[in-house]
Order: sequence, then C-alpha cells, then structure tokens
Amino acid sequence: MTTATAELAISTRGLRKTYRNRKGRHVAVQGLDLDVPLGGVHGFLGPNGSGKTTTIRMLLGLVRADSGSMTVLGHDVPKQLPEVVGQVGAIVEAPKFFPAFSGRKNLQLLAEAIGRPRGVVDQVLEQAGLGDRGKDKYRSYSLGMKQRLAIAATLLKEPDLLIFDEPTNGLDPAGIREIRNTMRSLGEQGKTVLVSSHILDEVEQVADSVSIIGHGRLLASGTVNDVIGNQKATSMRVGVADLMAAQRILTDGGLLVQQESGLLVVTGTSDGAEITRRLACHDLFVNELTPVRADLESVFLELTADEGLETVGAPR
Amino acid sequence: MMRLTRVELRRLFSRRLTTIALLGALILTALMLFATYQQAKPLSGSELASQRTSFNEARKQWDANGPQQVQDCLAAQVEAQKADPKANLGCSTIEPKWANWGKPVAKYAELMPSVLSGASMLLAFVGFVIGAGFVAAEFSSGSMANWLTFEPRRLRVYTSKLGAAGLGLLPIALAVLSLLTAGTWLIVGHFASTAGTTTKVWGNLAQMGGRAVLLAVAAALAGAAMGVLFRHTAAVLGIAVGYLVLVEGVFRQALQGVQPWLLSLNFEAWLQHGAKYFPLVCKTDGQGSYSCQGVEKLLTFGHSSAYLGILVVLLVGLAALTFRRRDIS
Repeated sequence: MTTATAELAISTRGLRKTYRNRKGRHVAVQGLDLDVPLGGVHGFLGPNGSGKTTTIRMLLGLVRADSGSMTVLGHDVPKQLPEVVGQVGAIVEAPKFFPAFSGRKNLQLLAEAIGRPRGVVDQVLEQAGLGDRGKDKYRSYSLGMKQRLAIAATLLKEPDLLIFDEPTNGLDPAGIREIRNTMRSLGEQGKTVLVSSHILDEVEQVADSVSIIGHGRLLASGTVNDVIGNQKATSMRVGVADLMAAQRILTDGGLLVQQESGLLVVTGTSDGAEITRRLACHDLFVNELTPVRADLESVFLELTADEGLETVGAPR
Repeated sequence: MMRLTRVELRRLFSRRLTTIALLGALILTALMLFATYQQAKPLSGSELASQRTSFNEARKQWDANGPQQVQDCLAAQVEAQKADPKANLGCSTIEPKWANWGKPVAKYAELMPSVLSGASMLLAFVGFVIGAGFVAAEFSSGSMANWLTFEPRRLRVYTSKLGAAGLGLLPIALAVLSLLTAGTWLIVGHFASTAGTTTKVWGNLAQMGGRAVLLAVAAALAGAAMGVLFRHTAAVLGIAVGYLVLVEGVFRQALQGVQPWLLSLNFEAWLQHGAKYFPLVCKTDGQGSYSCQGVEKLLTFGHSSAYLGILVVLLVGLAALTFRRRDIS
C-alpha cells in the first residue's frame, strides 16, 4: 500500500473496459483515473451510459477490467477484494434480492454468509426504518422500501466505504430526501460514501467532493466548490438605482440583460469592471455587483460540450 | 465454505420451487404406491366371476375347434421354420388352462426393482429441476450480483451452490425411496407375497437404491451447472424437454447407432447394473428383399458409469470456468 493510495478510499488508474455485442465493440470505460478521498460523500457524476456503473462493477469484482489498476481502501482489487469486501457495502443499480423471501429472510441469509449474528438483522432493519415490514415479502415492497432494504444490507457489514449507484432512481420526493439524509449522515460518521448519479442537483446537495466522467473518461474532479469555482462565471447580478436606464445602456452595448427580483442579470460576461465603467459613463452607479456562480449543471454541460454527450435530465 | 453451503441449503429449502417439486414428488410417490396396490391386490369376486366366464367361453371354443387350431398352428410353424429353423409358435401352449387365467400373485422381490427404477427417474427429474431453478433464479433475479458483493470468491460461491443442490437432494431422495420401499413392502405383504425376499435380494435392492440416490444427486448437480450456463430456469428446462422430445422421442428410431449414448438407456444401465437394448440391423437378402431385425446388445454398467460421470464432470467444470470469468450484471 503506497502512501498516496492509503489516503484514498478508491483509486483507479488507466481503467478500461470494452463490451462486445452483436453490433461490435463498445468502450464503456477508457483509461479512467479516479481518486475518491477517505471520508465524506463523493459524487460520481456522468450522464447515462458514461461508464459509472461499469466502473463500480469493476471495483466490486463483478466485471473484469480489460486493463488498468484499482485499489479499494488500499487493497489492489480484484485480487485482494476478499480481504477488503467486509469493509465495503454496495448497492449496484436497483436493489436485487430474492423476491419470494421476506426482507428479514434476505438479510438473514446475507448476515449468515458473512458470519454476522442474526440479531444484527433486526438492528439494521430498524436503522433503515423497516422494523415493522421486515416480515413482508420483498416483492411486496415499494421502490423506496427496496432501496432502504438495500441500505440495510450494506450496513450488515459495518462498512467503511459505501458505494451507492443511482440510489434515488424511481423514488418519490420523500424517499429521495430520506436517502440523501442517510448518505449525508453516513458521511458525517466518517465513512466514505461514493454516490453515482446523473442527477446533478442531488450530488451538489450531498457531496463534499465530486468526479465527473463522460464517455468513460474523467472530465473533472475535486471538491464541489472547486469544480464549480474553476469554471468562469458567465453572468453578473447588478444592482443599480435606475434599472430601466441601466438595462437600456447595457443592451445597447450588446449584452443580454434581464430584470430579476429588483436586480439586473447580465448574461454573457463576467467582466464586472466593464459593466461598472459603462454605467458610470452615464452617471449610473452600481450598488451591487455579484458574479453568478455556475451551478454543477452548467459546469457539467460545459465540460461535456466537447465530448458530444447528451444533455442529462433536468435536476430534481 | 461450510457456512456458505449451510446458507445455501437454508435458501434451497425456503424456495417455493423446492416445495412444489417436493409436493410433486410426494404425489407421484403416492401414485406409484397406488399402482403397486393395483398390481398386488387380488381379484374381487365380480372380477373373478368375469374371468371364470371368459375362461369357460375360451374352453368351449377350444373343445369345438382346438384340434384344428393346433393343426393350423403347426402348419404355420413349419412355414416359419423355412426362414428361421428355430422358429417356435408355441402351438403346445394354446390350450386354455385356468392357471393362465386370473392374476399372478405379485412378489416383492420381483416388483421392487421396477418400482425403484421408476422412482429413480422421478428423483432424477426432480433433482434436475430443483438444481436448475435454485441457481438460475439468482441470475434472472439479479441477486447473484448482490451475493457476490458479500462473498466475491466465485469458486467458493459456485461450490457452495452446487454443493447445496447436491446435498439437498440427499434427504429428499432417501425419504422418497424409504417411503416407496416400506410402502411397497406393506402393500405387497398384505395383498400378495414377500416370500423370496432374501438377504441377497435386499442387498441388490440397497445397491440399486444407492445408485438411484447418486443419480438424483448427479442430476441436481447437472441442473445447477446448466443453471449457471444458461441463467434462466425456463431455458434449462426447455433444453431438457427439447432433448427428451426430439432425441429420446421423435428421432430415437432414426438414431439406432447412437443408442449407447442416449441418456435414458444409460440411466437404465446404471440403475439395473447393465441394460439390454435392441438396435435394428437392416439388410437386403439374396432375393433382394429388405428387412430389419432387432439385435440384442448389452450396455454395461461400466459404460454407463463412465459416460454419465464424464457428462456431469464436464458440465460442472464448464459451468465453473464460465462462472469464474463471466461479467455479472
């Protein structure tokens, strides 16, 4: 274990995976270098088909990488996966359990397989808010309950690293909030949570750091603030006494200006000095000038613009 | 490893398909015992009277036409012996005798091997279905991926699943065979005869029962291995039914040369410690007439053991290699 990888929960270098199908070869992940720091929530963003799930499957040993290296909690995987799997809880895509068994029975089988006492099952069911529905068959669960059962299953191991792949897919707003709170709370407990999503708003709300991928390659990585802050602001919010006059002057100067909540929003520039100079020339003096920070969605669109990727769905 | 196998055994016996297969096996066991009862029970008064009437009628006809029938038979025999000097049409036995009427007394020692043979086919089928469904359901439901995030050592997982399928069949097979052995003993003992069931007969029956259990276990392993290879219970059962209908049924007559490689014949040879079969040998004689005749051949126990053993080992090995390398979705 190197010092660098010891400080990382997950690290991949040059990771590549190609699938073969009837139409030919499809490169799902191409040379991915991903670093997930220890502790906190790390967002793993990318549009559908960008390679997030394939990467997660490779990390969990479900899919074989064509080339590249991976470490999970300092262990080379898949070779040393058996040594570290007890510290990793994962939900890959939709939760998948035996539909004819109850939630409790499903968890009991998993607990027994890893040598955990049966008592822990009721404990994690309670933790996941399924205490009174544990005896019901899994097939009768709502999507939210299935997701909660999957989270309960990950907690059977007392993991240091949790990997959630699109955890809020198909959930209602209350379910989404619940899952977000759970992820946040796990992160605050010092665990590392890797949450993959194509919903930018979701990641922005829960993640401390983020990696953005497209076409199986890393596009950006860092803290959420850094990734957003690195992008140029593309509009400015301007406060001025005479909004109508200021709007006319700036519009005449070729800028796109809109009134919004008693302020002007000037799109297409982040040059505050230029805006101030133009208005001052007409004896209009700025009393507020704020660059509008790019949100994660615009960052994502900017990063993926050159990749020819499809736009992601609207954030929820 | 033992822990994983224990968990898989718990899962196996919690499955609905296992319960349904067990219920099916129990119903078929009951039907087999009922068939034994039908075979062993003596004729009722009315059946006996009907048989007596039938015998009297045959006797009356014999008294009127018997000598002529014997003469016709002997003439036909002389004709037949021109083609085959050993031809015997049984002309001396055509006289109706009361001993040939009615119903022969069933004997346990003679009845039980056929009961065991039928039961072992049933157990092999049940084992195959249980094994296939047990493993394939995990792939089709997607829970295999979840399972592997808890135990990523695939060969261990594979061994535990196949081990559970095989071990799980042991008590089922033993229970069904014990039920049939005891039930048949009671039925035949009450209505017919258990005389002649010597220690040697018991020994032979025990050996046959043991082979029936092994066959059921092997079928469960083969079913589980095919479950890994094809990932859907319906696909595995489709292949099995397709084989039975097409190879063993429709094309069996056309496949005279490959009879030693048919599963049904090898099952029989394995159970009965060798089995006779009669492939048709066709030829054109000097006068240009084309005829086919069944020729008796023996499929040895050694042949069936080796053939079935290799088949199971190949399936299990191929499935292990596939499972070890396959991407799991």
